[in-house]
Amino acid sequence: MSYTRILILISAYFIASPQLRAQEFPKGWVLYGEASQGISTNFKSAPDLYVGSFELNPMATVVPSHLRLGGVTGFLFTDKKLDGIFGPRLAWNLSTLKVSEFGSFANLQLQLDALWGTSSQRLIGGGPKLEIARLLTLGITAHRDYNLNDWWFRMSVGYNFLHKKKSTTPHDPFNP
Amino acid sequence: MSKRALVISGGGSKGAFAVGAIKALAANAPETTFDIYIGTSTGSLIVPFAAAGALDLLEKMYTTVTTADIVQKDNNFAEQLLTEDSLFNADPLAKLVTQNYNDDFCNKLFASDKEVYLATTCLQTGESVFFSTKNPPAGADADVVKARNPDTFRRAVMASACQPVFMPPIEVEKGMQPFRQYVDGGVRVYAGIQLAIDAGATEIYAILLSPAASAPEQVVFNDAFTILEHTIDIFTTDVAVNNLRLPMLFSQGLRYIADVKAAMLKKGKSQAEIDEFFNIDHTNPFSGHDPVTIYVVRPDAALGGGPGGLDFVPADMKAMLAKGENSMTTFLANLPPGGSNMV
Repeated sequence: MSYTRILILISAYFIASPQLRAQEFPKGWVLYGEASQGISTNFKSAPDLYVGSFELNPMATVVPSHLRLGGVTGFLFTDKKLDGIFGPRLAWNLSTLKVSEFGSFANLQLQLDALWGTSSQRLIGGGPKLEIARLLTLGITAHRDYNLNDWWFRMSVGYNFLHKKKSTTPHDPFNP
Repeated sequence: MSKRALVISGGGSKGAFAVGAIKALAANAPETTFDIYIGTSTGSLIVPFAAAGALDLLEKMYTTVTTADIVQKDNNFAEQLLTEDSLFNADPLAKLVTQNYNDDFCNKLFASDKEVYLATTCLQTGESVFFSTKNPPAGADADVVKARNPDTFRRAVMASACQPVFMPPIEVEKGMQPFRQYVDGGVRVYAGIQLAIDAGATEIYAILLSPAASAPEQVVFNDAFTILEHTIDIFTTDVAVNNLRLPMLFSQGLRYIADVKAAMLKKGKSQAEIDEFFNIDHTNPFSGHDPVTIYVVRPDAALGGGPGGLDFVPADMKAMLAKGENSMTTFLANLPPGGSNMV
């Protein structure tokens, strides 16, 4: 059986799984604005460089409860200059954190991405991220710049611009 | 004219016990029919069908419905807390209510001579409000509102069943001013026995879905949510105990006065004299009421059903239904022929 067929079967299983509604990674889109800062280093020559960035990160759930795919675009400040950055991103839900029987409140996900910078940066890497209430994220990442032979270590905070808004009128279950 | 009332308390999936009890009553004492039907919470889902004699449908509902047919529990708790008016989404229950209590069913119920009352609690006023198929009974202490149409009735059924915080409040009288939202009647009224008395019932069958006393639980409570759930259970039980105490006392008072009057008559006092003694300045709170017999049927031990009775598991509900049948059958077997078994 080919890898493609195995992948299709696994995806079909998750999509049709008895878990009717995903508490975390439900169907639909998220659009996180993420601010991060950290360092880039080659562990040899000093000093390490400061890295700050702001990224927009739209992602769509492709396997509810499990997988989101999307992209990253934004600006980064390092080595005293401003660069652009972009690339694809994947997020895999590692664990759904629950509150007793009341449902989930957060998830711990593994984010992986490949990013291109406008000053010849070529980054590949990722890290764990905590997503709370589909509203906020906290994450740490490590990336290898395989073109410039650097390592990047960053911490990020994100805000989902597409988060569910509080309705101004009460919910009517007879007219949902 | 003496009336007989059926009163069913709240309890979520434990309503299966009440359905079993009603089924056994219909099978073993078919002559026992009711004029007044009063429900709280899950009791409000039951009494309209009981009034319509649709016991088969009730049995089907209370042995096949699952939690997913009532609420969506699999939400993001934190997101719900920030954006919604309840932790669980109750759209499935609204769908179930709309399907089962359709216009035709409601209109037939309105046209029948049965009185159906559904207990709710108004969030804006904090008061108990009973929505009814009939005009308010004269002299009722409780706030009784006649449901204007099938939609209002369905919304009242839903409101009565919606446990606040877990399920959303319901605008029963859509578009009416002032704006009012209603939740589970069990917040204030565990079982509407007092309303049954006020509505003229002289014989009341009260089916309660919690035991009179629970054995102490030999568990260590060491997490906040379990303690929160347990505390809510304690509050609910307290409402039940306090809510039953007053109508029971009232009923005992009525019986006591009837016995005193009978004794006075036996001692040679005239009826006019007796009436004079018991109507001093018209302050007798028992005047206008006949002695009431209250039969209570309830489980011997806790039925389960999860926190707030919100776990609807068909296998468990079938067992609850069987317990209800057994309890009612045992109760009827112990009822003295032609006599009262007042509790």
